[in-house]
Amino acid sequence: MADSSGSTTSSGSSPDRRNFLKIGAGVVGGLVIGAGVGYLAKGSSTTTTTENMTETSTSTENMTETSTVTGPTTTSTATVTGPTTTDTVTSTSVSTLPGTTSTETSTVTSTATTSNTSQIAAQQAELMAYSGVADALTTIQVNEANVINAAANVIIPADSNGPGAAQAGVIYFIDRQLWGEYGQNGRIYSPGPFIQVGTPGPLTVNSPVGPITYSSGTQAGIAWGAPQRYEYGITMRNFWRFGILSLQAYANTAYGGNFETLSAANQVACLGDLFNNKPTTFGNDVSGGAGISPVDFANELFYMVWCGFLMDPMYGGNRGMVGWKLTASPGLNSGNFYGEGETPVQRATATTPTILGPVSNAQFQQSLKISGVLSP
Amino acid sequence: MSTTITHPSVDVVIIGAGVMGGEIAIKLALNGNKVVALEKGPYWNYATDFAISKYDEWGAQTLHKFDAPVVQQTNTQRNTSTQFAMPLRREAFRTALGFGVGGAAHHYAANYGRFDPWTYAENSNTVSRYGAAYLAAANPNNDVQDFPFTYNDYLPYYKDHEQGWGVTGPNQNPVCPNSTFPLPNHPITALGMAFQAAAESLGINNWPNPTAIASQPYMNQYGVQINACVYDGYCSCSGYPCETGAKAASDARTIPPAISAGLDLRTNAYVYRIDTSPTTGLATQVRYYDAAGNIHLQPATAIVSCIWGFLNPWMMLVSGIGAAYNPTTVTGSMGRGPNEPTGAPTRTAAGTLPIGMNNTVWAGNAAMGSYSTYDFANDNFDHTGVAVPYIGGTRNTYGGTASSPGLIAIAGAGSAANIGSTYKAAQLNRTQVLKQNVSASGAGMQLPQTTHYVDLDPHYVDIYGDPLPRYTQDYAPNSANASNDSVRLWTPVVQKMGVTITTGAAVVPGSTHEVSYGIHIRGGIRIGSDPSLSALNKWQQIWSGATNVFAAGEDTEPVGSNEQTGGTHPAAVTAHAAAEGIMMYLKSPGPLV
Ligand SMILES: Cc1cc2nc3c(=O)[nH]c(=O)nc-3n(C[C@H](O)[C@H](O)[C@H](O)COP(=O)(O)OP(=O)(O)OC[C@H]3O[C@@H](n4cnc5c(N)ncnc54)[C@H](O)[C@@H]3O)c2cc1C
Repeated sequence: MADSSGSTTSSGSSPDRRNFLKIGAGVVGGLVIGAGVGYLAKGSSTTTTTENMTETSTSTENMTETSTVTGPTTTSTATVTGPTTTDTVTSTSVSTLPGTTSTETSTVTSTATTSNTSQIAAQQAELMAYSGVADALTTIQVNEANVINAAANVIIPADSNGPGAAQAGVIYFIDRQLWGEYGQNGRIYSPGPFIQVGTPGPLTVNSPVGPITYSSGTQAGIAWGAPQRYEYGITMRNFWRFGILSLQAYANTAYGGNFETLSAANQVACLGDLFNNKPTTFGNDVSGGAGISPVDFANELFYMVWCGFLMDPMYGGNRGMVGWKLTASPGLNSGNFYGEGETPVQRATATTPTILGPVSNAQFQQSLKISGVLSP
Repeated sequence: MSTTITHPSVDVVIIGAGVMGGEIAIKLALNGNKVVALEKGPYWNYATDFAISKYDEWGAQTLHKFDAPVVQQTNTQRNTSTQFAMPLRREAFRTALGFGVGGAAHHYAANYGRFDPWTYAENSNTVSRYGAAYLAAANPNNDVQDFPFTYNDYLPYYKDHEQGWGVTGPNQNPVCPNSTFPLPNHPITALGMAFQAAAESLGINNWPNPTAIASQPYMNQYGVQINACVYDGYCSCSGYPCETGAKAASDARTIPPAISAGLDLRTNAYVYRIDTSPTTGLATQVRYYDAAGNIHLQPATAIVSCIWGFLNPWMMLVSGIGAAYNPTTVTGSMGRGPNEPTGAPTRTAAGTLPIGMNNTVWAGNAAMGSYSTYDFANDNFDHTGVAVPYIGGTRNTYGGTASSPGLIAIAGAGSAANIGSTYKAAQLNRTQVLKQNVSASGAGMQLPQTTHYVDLDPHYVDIYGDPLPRYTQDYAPNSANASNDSVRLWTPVVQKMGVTITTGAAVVPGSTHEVSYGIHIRGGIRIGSDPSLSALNKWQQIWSGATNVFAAGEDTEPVGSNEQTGGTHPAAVTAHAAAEGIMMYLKSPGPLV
């Protein structure tokens, strides 16, 4: 009795979206839709738009150990000295939100030995060899980069299933995010108070009408409960900074060396400890001494590494579309980019899968220019 | 220094230009009323905002660049009233609210559904068939209420809305009696076909799912020309707007003709207050900020709030309209009865279909290709003798919707076990899903309980300094109990499809807690027949005091539903009742009931 009305299934043909762009975009409902001014900048909010597989960047790597990063909301200065480091990270966040100006001061003392910058240079060379693109870090410090790169390679190693995080340029994805809106909490609700998931009751919290006591504390954290919350009164940029330094310190204390120098098994064990909240001091002195929960940092690291592996190459990672090759994602190929001749409907209804070559956003835009839809 | 600008008075102010705002705007504008719609977001440009820049998983789906920014306003959430409520801080980890003309429909999946006749009187139908004790056992602290109108009362509105929206679907679906959808179905996927054949052979009713995505070029009754779907798959996954306008949103259906008929639409207009007269109690004007921070005063004879996601009750509470719900005394109706089904505990029972499936990434659209049955949903089977009492049932659909590589990143996080080559190997060809996972269990209905409510948070404020809405809710036992029993009902069909099912342990009510919200936010400003139980009467009007204030949206619905996909459209239908109520009010001001 299926579909007893006899209503028909629509025909399988549908326009390629590139054709649609030629014929009708912008004219919807018979009216030309006008653009408005968004509350936040509309459209792409990324910090970089370069993604050209054949482009070679000549910019030099940021090797300097003191950096001043000025963004719309944050000024932060990181000073890193010596082979044995004392990192003083002071940052003043002047939020545009009323009543939320805060000053963060944190001192993280680590016994870590600052690694030779040749390691990051080696990563660069590897990356260059793989994707033909040299690149520079904008925000991540060299000593941080060593840890991030090593951790990223532990999370997604190069193996028989293809390239890993380093070849994919995951660190550049993370770097550009930390430089931009993500690093500055541009899309995070940032006012306090900051109270972690799973805080037991009774819990007393001040309010404009006086202190209020909650007998049951806060909701217990479940997977992704904690990162969704982000109960830290600091920018993501500093969350990463403190997290990396603390990971490095923990690697030294628990495994006797810098993270990037540990054996593969110890690197896995060390990251696993973070997931299991084993380090007892971590991100110390952050948000009034509460520190960062190691599992929160581990989750963020894992998440951003995989995003760097899988997001469009225009964001700096997924170089050579290696992430999409692993997962068989077509990217922007809706069935006919390389002349495969498959309609989107055929793709959607097929019982025999075909794996299409991936297409990046840049390639797609390029094709629009060639076909005259976009002006070059 | 911000300036204060006072505008000339109008008949009606509509707050929010999403699905509901559009539905009401076109009706009032065609009726000749002077209407202003105020929308906090932009008027998206389909060419430059969508066609070129939407193919961006990181920006659109993960950072939610098209969605309401949490830095402007978010909400707090907790499970019980003895907990401190935590704010939802990151858009990346929530399914975000709508933003801009068109609202959340820009990133919805566009599954279409009506509520069936039973759902309109869920409470009394349950009591009359199974008894009050059964209902009390199924839903402790039960707060399900009947709709003030019946299915048949709403039927003309359904038809009108479906014409305007350009809905595809099969006709004569017995759970939606009297349906004539204007457009034919989308192509059915292989999985949909497999389900259809199995259901057919077992004598189970089955239909292609209706969608609010045009399958063919179409012109609606307002003269709006609608393009057909291009099936490129960048559709929903909670972030992708539709550049062709095939997926229904008010800026591609109702708003353009409303503007032609005289609607004054103002974007970047964030309404933060409805002012009321201390003498009459009636609303006098709304206050809003423009993008430059100037304050605007817009007086009106009637005001309708169409801002989804706890925001309708929030607007009333910050404006002092209606009686705030008190969970201790169970009195007051503003903020009462929210029920959000997303993420409810679901028993696992699944296997893989031995056919290749090519539809799971970047192909098709968010809603297409599915077959479904309602035989195990609502009250379409006898619940007498179920092991643990529950109401409603489950509804699964089989078809496959567009998926997304980035979900891998989220799915794997949270576990040390996912570090390294083993997890990576599991992602090989992942987005192509060669063997389709098929489930023989579903999520049960989430039901309103007297312990659940929306109020104003005492600790956190939005960017303008107003308190955030605070949401107190946990999953009611009904959803877990129904999910456990669903395996019994669905297993034969899925086995018939050739799938070997592995069934997980029963889920325990109370073991999974609500952490987020997103897809359907019902209740909080409910309609009903009893002013002590509902915030609004059947014309969606505030019962007394500010009787020139109306509201529309899923949050006006007083029931739980199996139509996980359909809270929106039944609400669009009740929005027509609001439009009629407003017209009646303008002719003859006062309480309409
Ligand atoms: C990921 C996802 C998938 C979904 N899938 C489906 C589906 O498949 N089928 C289905 O039927 N439903 C689905 N839904 C639900 C559906 O999107 C909503 O029910 C529907 O969009 C709500 O319509 P509305 O008009 O009430 O609110 P919205 O569409 O959200 O519109 C409200 C508008 O008000 C504006 N606004 C808010 N606050 C203010 C203010 N203070 N001042 C001025 N303007 C303001 C907002 O910017 C917005 O444009 C889904 C939702 C999500 C999030």
